[in-house]
Amino acid sequence: MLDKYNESTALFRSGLEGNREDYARFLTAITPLLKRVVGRRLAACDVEDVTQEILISIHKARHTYDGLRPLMPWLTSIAKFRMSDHLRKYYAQMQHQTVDIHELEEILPHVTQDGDSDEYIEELLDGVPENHKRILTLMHVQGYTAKEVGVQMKMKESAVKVAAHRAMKKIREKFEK
Amino acid sequence: MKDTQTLINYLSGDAVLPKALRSPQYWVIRLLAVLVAYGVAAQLYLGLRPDLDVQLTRPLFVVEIGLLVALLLTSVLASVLAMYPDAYQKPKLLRLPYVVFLVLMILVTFQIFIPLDGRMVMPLPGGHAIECALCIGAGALIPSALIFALLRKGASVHPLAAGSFAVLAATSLGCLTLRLAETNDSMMHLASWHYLPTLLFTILGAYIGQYLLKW
Repeated sequence: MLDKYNESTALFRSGLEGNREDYARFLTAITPLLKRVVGRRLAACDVEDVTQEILISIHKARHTYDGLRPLMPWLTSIAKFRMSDHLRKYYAQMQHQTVDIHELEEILPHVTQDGDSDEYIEELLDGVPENHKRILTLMHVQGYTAKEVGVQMKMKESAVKVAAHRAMKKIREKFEK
Repeated sequence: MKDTQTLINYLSGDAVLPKALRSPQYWVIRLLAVLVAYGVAAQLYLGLRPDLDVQLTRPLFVVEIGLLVALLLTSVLASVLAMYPDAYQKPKLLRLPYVVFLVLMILVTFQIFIPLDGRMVMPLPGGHAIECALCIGAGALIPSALIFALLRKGASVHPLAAGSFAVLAATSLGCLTLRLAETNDSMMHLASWHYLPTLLFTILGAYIGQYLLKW
């Protein structure tokens, strides 16, 4: 691990002195690491984009690294900054995304009047134990998390997940028949 | 992966070699030299209060001046460190200006509630007020612009804090100059028209920082 770190530092320093191949090797070497770091904090669909943004930022800020201090804190500061920046933009965008109620006018009566989907869910859940049925309804129809369902039903989060998994398995088996 | 590889090839093929940013020590000394020269010029323009020698025998006045100097030094240091994404691996130093400012506020508040020292000069009723805040603000414009220009050379990952440090450094210089020039020791006046505006300018600096220090 330390060797890998020293190697990356050496490649970066060499890159800063004008060795393009070493610089490319450095960027290639840190890409999987950055992807892992980004993957832990952001959705999988954003990993590639944010990793590329971080690479560009590293390139832009490379003049602020003088080679006299450890490289990793410098790299992680930039990575964290770009991830926070991405999240800030994402939440700001979400805040401004609104659905005009008039756009739903044609859909809403249809949803409230049409009982087919409810009947279909009932049919699917037929034969599933009552508490499993409730867990599935809470999680997949009403949108509660396993943790919240656990609080409501006085169960452990892991027990809720297991119950939901078993119920889904039962439904799947029913479907396959 | 193909896209990332293309990007890596593009970045590594960038012909422009970066000129490494010099050390924080260099920038601190250089920035302080400029600010001190500006402060001396401002002091020459405003003059010194006639009773300065008497005031310098008053411990709380000396502490206040010392804290203003400390505020100037720490905010210059923090501004320079904020240029580096990793704060040159001294992130704790970025909190120092806020700590010093807080101590200064405590000192001023404390002096409001203790009996007046006979050597303190109280202003006549109806004296100037907002002029002090305007003087500090106007005097801080050029140093703030200079520090922002310097900060833009770096790559700050704390644009809000960096903006606040820039303005805090500039306004602390203004506060120091004015404190040595103005014959007024009313703590209410200092709190309302010197230090509260400094706080507001600092918040404004943080707001500006997030736009000016984008990269």
